[in-house]
Amino acid sequence: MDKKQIVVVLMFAAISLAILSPVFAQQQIKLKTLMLIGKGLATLPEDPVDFMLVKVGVAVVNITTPSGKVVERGLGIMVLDDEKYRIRNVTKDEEGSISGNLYRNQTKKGSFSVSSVIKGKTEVWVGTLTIDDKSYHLYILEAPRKIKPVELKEKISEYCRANRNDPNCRERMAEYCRNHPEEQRCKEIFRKYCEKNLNDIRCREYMKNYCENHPEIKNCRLYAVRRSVKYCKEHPNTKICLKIEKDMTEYCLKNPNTERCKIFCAKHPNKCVKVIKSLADFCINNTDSATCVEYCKKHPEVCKKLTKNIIDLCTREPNNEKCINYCKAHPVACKKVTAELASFCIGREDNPRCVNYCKKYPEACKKVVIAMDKYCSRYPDRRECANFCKRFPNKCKLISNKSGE
Amino acid sequence: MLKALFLGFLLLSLIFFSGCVNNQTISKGNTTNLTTEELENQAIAEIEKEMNHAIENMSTEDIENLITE
Repeated sequence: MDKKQIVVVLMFAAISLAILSPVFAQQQIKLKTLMLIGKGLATLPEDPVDFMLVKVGVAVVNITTPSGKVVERGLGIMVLDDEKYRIRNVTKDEEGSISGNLYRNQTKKGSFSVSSVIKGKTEVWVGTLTIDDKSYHLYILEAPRKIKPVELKEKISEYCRANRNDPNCRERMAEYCRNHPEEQRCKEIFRKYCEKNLNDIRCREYMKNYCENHPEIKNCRLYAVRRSVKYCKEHPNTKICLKIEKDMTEYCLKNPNTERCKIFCAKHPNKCVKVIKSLADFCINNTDSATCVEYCKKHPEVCKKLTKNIIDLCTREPNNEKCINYCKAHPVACKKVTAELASFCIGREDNPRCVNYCKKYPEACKKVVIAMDKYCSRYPDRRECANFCKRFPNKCKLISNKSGE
Repeated sequence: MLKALFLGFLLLSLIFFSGCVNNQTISKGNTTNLTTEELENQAIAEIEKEMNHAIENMSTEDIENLITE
């Protein structure tokens, strides 16, 4: 390359940069979190037929000022019939609620506050709207909004910067995921990102679809609970909240040691006085129970408590002759199925996710409901009894003494 | 060689200078508040675009399913 060519290349580069630099300088707005997008109605409580159509969009925006400083602001727009209002001073909380003030021509005209609740597959935002000194009930159906590849790149990059040790976060992963958004590792990273960012509508949309196919995953079983906390605190006796509470109770009967269940059971001790186990697991330690006598006669090897050596063998070689029957009854111990799916399927033989599993492992799907006091008096050292005995030491001790008599 | 280096230096100066001019153009004539308002307008316009696009994708079928569920 001679001098003339070098000069030409340099001039070309200079001109390109001179043209592009103002374009980059103007990229000062970034929608960081899309908190709420939807449409619905606002009705007057005294005359519900007097209503307005509502469209709303609320987001957390990163604004880069000319000085280069990045400012985070909650902003939005609400359209009431044909009137547009600007939303400012947005507040949100982790319990699924959003509020803000409404402005028109720089003058404050009202405010709104909504809480989310899951109805079937749809998230609905319910609350109040005050505009021009009139108060309305507000109902918003959330719109579906999928993540776009270019946004996925940003989220993957954000997650991997904060979680450098995640094995899925490899070099240039963000760019890779932009080009291959359907790749399993990209989906897995985004799911992990979303579990902590449910304030973003794109994450809610992703989790909704993911949970439809994986209802057994802990975060999916608790999704409706997490998204309806505030609403159900304020309206505990609504049909949907009673159902959510029932689901939560059932979850805690199977998983009494999870953090959320410890809180739930401390609040509602009367709801956590029983525990659900699979017939096969229950009968290992209760061969003399009326529920197990017949079962253990039929499957004596399944009711036996295996030695550690055999358990290790069965984990390693589930198809070993010594393990076949044991593994049929205890598929989790033999790593034939995840603990989450096994726990989800106890008592849910008809659930589409469980049909095949329960056909293959019927005894692992049969539900046994045990009274906690009787169970814990017998096995006070069991993990699931730790909370119960801490909460009811006298009850636990009393029965323990009685049974020892 | 020296001439080429000089030309390169001149061009690079031009690039940096053009950046300064562009930044000045953005802030020139605007108070800080006005700029913030302009940026807010831009943000609201983006949110409105997102809102209209997402709402367009809400089919009546989705709403019917919700009502009948």
